Amino acid sequence: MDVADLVPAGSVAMTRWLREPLLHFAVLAAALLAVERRLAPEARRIVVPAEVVRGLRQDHLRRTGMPPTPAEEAGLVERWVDDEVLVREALALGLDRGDVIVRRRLVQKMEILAEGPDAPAPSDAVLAEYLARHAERYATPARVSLTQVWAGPGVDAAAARALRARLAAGTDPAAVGAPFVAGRSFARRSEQELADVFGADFAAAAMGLPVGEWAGPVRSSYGFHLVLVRERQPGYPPVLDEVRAAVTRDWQEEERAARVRAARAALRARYAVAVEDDGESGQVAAR
Amino acid sequence: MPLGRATLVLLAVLAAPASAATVDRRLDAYALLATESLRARALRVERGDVAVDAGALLASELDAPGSQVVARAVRLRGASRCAAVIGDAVAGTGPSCPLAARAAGAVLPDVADACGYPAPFPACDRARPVTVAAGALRALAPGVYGAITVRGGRRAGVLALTGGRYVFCGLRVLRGARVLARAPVEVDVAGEALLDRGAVVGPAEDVALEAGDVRLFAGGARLRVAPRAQLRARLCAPHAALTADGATLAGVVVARRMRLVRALATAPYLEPHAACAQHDRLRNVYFGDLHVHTALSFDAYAFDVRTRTTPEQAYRFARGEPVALPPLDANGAGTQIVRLARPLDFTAVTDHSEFLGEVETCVTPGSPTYASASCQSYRAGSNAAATQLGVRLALTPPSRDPAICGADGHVCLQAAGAVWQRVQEAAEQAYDRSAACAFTTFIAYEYTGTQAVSTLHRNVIFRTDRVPAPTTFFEQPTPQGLWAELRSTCIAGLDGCDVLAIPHNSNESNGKMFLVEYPGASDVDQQRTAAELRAAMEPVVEIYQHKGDSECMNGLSGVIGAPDELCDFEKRRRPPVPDCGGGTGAGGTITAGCVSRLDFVRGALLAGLSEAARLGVNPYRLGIVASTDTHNGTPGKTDEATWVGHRGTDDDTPAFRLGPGQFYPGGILFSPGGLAGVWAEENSRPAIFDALRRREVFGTSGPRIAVRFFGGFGLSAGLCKAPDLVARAYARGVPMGGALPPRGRAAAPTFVVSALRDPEGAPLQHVQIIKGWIENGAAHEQVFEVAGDAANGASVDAPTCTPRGPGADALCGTWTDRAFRADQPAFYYARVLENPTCRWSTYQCNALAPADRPPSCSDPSVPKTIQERAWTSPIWYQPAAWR
Repeated sequence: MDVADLVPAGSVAMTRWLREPLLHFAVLAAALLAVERRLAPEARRIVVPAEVVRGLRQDHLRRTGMPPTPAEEAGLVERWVDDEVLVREALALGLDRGDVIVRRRLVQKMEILAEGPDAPAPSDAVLAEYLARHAERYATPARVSLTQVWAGPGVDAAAARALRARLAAGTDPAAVGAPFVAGRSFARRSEQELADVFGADFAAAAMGLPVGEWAGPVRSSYGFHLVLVRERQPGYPPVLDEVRAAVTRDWQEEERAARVRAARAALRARYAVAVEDDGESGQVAAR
Repeated sequence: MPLGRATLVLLAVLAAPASAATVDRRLDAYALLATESLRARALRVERGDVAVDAGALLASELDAPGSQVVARAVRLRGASRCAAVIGDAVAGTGPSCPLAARAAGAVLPDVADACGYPAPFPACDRARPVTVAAGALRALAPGVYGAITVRGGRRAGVLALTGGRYVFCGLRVLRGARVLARAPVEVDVAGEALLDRGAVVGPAEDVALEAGDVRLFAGGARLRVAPRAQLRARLCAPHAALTADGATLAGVVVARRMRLVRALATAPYLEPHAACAQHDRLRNVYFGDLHVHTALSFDAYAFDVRTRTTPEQAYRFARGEPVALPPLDANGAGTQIVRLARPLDFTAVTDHSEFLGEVETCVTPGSPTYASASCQSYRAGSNAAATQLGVRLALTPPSRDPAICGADGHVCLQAAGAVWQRVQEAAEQAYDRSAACAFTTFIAYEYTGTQAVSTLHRNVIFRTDRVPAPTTFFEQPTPQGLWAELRSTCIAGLDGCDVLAIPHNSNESNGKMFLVEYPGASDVDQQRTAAELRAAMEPVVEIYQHKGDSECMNGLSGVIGAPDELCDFEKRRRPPVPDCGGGTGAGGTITAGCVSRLDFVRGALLAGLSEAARLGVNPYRLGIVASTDTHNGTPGKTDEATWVGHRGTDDDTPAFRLGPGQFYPGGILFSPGGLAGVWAEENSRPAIFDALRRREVFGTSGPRIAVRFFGGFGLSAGLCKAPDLVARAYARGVPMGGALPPRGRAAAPTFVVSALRDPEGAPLQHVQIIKGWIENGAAHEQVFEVAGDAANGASVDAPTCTPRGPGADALCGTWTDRAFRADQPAFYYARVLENPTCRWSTYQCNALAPADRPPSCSDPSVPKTIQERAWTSPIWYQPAAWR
């Protein structure tokens, strides 16, 4: 886990900056001046809403286990008012704009609003349509069962062919070849699963071998193998009943994303957008 | 005639087999499985099916309401209850025990094979009988013995099996006597076995074991269990006749013929799952990641992983689907699309159990403390947020933030319950319960013990879907407390629950992770019990991950041996570091404080040998795995060439990764982490979990190197040429994770290592065996070359990452320990090395324009290359006589 770097490495530069008194003063003065010009008189009236006072009281109770005394409550309200003043001044200064964290937070809040609660379970017809659109994602892959004998490290194709002849003549596959510690027989493996063991080329070749006869040599990441495909199950397109849970889950996720997209588009429609030319971009247009 | 038609339809419905009734092809689904015949009167079956593989089942007053009864011929009498009968010739079924389907051949293709019956059956030694007197307690080390008798009576004897493989000529447990396993055991009884009245054979009650940890193989013709006797074990006796009268049989019981009167049978809990198409008694290799964080972890959330990676997405990523990671765009969506080229076989999402509720509370509008200042600052994100919560772990004692959790913590505990439910649902959804057995998940979490800012973390992995609420460092601030709670809430307290814990990042523990101490134990007996609990709960250790290597470090005090240059691998801290000596330090989590030999697996293994000599129990019999510790929900993302970090916004750009580190010192010293390799019969929860339990597992630094490691006194030096190497090695030796059998006449043990390169990875360079041993009380280690060529001249051109030189697709070697001494405890593990390849930092420095490269790109102390590797679990040798 990543806990407790008690002094985050990045904070040093910021601390130094904050200790520059001259810079401090200049920034504050400029800000106050700007606010003076922008903030309308009615925006300078602060009413502390009753629910805020109640929230402060409850928060204090949760934190300390006791309700605040009148003096403490007055202090809490004072601090809230102080914060509120800063928030308003900051908004008036436009400090919320151009701040990636604030922007991201607002976007997330809007998206959560747009998502709304989970859609109710869709009908089979809807799911079937979704399934048809994403058939490959849920399809059952072709599978083969095979027994293989590894000719061994450095053994050439001719020697491997000789080994195939012995196997075809009935030699016990457990008694010939080199030990292949990943296993000799594999049951109902997909191409991907075979590739994980033998490499992609072997897997692709094995899927196409005839059933019931020793074939090869087939080259893997390790050299030549003789392969007896015992059984082949063709892949088949998905059947709703077999994949219903996954399809429902994915459909709901897509629905959620669609609702967010729709909400974005609906809001976007209320805006006229123009992109200014910064002189360097080739593609500029007013939309 | 409408009425007649309705009646016909009704009859047809009654006669039609229920479509759900199919024969379970998994041995573990059976409480009782006879190969030839089963006769029972007043048999009660609490859980599990009952079957005769090829023959008849005759029962009267069968009381098995949840069981399927399967046999060619089934005859029921009296009032019998069962869930369904599946058979060809069936009589006596009724509504309380209905016929559901026709039987289709044998239940299992080869019952003896399925239950692991040894072939050939091992020979016992008649010259070494053991008799435990009435009232006596005798501890028995593994080995080959004669007839065993445990005397009973008013003061019955107790035979304690200390763990490992035992061969007996016969077994007689007389009135009220007990044979108790104190660690997992395999007991081969060549002759007859008797459990007299009130006798018990099974796991000891004060250790964390299940009936399945006692595997009893009976080679004789008869086995008798008398009234009130209890057999709590997996019994595999496919050639024996079993009679039981008024007895309890808890476990999977296999015999040829069974005659049961008033017996109570119950199988261990088994989740529903189709029998896997790929099931191999000689075991296949499966690769996975057992250390994965998602946005449910407090630090991952703060690192902005919250964009996408839920546990569901982490599991989908493991199966090959893409995920979008930070850096975020202006809309808060991830901009780096990553995916695994090859899916994993298994994964456990292990979010920090601490703060599950805090994060949920703080990010759920309307929660009781959503508006608190603490939650507001947590939601502001970034490193300060991770620190704000993480620092609660460093308090003494650790405590939750009352501003978030309420004074008594209930706000967070309640919220954590709902999150834990989601963790379980995600594991359930992603677990492939079909016969394809393509992917296994585990319900899991990380216990984040952080004493004095030293890392004492464990990943807690559950075997089934029956799990208790997570244990946290707040409620249990010591590892001993964690084990005790897991034992009481899971193993002893919740039917069907089983669990293990995997310690990790011992490299950051300042000597504490494997410190030899037994808090609260006042004498040797209590120390032994504490060591047993530890050994049972922690069978494996994570040797390598994102925060570096924990195998070994040169230059630390307390071990005798030449420097091992391959220990200089992915070290989180660089020498010189202060040596803890025999003591401990503080601050390891943030790479401060001293470093101890006990911070490394090799040091812990050596300490375990010494403790085993002193106590008879090895508390550090640690198998080896590796994992990633990704905080991006990207299990298995270990590829050096395409790694994009593991900590969200904290390392999501090359500049952050190659720099000195932001939240956490390290930067360029971090790693993509590794994988856990497992040798299992199939890809399912019980098979993978049991492989971890028996330590037949290995770790890799990322590539999928498949390595087998066996040892034994009778192994042939020509094994590498034997096409049936694996079968012969199992028959005559033990696999990785095991203990060498008794010495016999051979002078020295022989080991065989056989490794296949990753089919998509670099060639192999060489294979080594590392031996550790205790000689005159001192710890020694030595490295031996076993196969391949360490000086093959292979290299990699760092500016282009082009490999040069020869290498091997596969390496196999045998090695006999000529310096073996029967009185010296020892361990042996194998290390397989790839040819050198570029380290991740080299790829990323190369990709930057020279002017943009940070100073670390030209820091000579940062390696340009890496030798990827695999570490097998050890094989142990313990001199037999200890008490």
